[in-house]
Amino acid sequence: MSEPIRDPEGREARYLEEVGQLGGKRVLEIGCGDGRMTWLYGYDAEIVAGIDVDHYELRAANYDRPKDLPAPTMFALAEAERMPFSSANFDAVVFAWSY
Amino acid sequence: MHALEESWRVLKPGGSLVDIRPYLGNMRLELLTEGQPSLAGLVDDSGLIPDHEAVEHTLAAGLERGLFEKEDERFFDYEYLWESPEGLKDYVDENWCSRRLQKSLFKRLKKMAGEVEAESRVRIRDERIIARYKKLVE
Repeated sequence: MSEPIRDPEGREARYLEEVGQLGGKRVLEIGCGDGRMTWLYGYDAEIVAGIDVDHYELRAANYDRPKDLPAPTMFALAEAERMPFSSANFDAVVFAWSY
Repeated sequence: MHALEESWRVLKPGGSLVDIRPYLGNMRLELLTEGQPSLAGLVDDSGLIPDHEAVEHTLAAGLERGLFEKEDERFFDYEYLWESPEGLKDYVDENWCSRRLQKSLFKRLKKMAGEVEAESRVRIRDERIIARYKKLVE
């Protein structure tokens, strides 16, 4: 398979920073997949939790997790309709639609 | 709607919902030669319309119910680069379910790539939307 170079000018990271304003926050990412987007903002967040319904993708996320990521990061197999978190737990929720 | 309600539940008061996704209808396939793009055509992403409409409907319902209010919304270009048309084709065959690289479009791209003497690359450029919503007290 031929993996492309994605977003060579880093626009996605820039807009996540400017619009998402995730720095210093407790972030939950819904549909985190293999963590590709998580690594874009994870360096600035306080903590990151990612959920997805594809455990192969989650395995890749755990495997690819950057060693120098300062924020505590966890991934869980869960559906967006029933999340295994207590109420009022996060400062931000990121919906990373992957359709 | 349930996913939006669950997001509302796990968010602290005043917390943010960030929606980031592809925006449909403008997925351009280009040949880049010495940095200059030549348009081969538009990729057919109409198979994604049902998902796109479902998301739009869910967000609109969340606003209407007073769960969230929109604070910011912007659009930006997102690019994928391959070294060759064949690289693109391999990736598409492996990964795409709802998008479709039309045979005629791929044939045109191959023809364009065959006609240039300089080194070229293949680019797909689509549009992304990112929006931030603030949690409101119901």
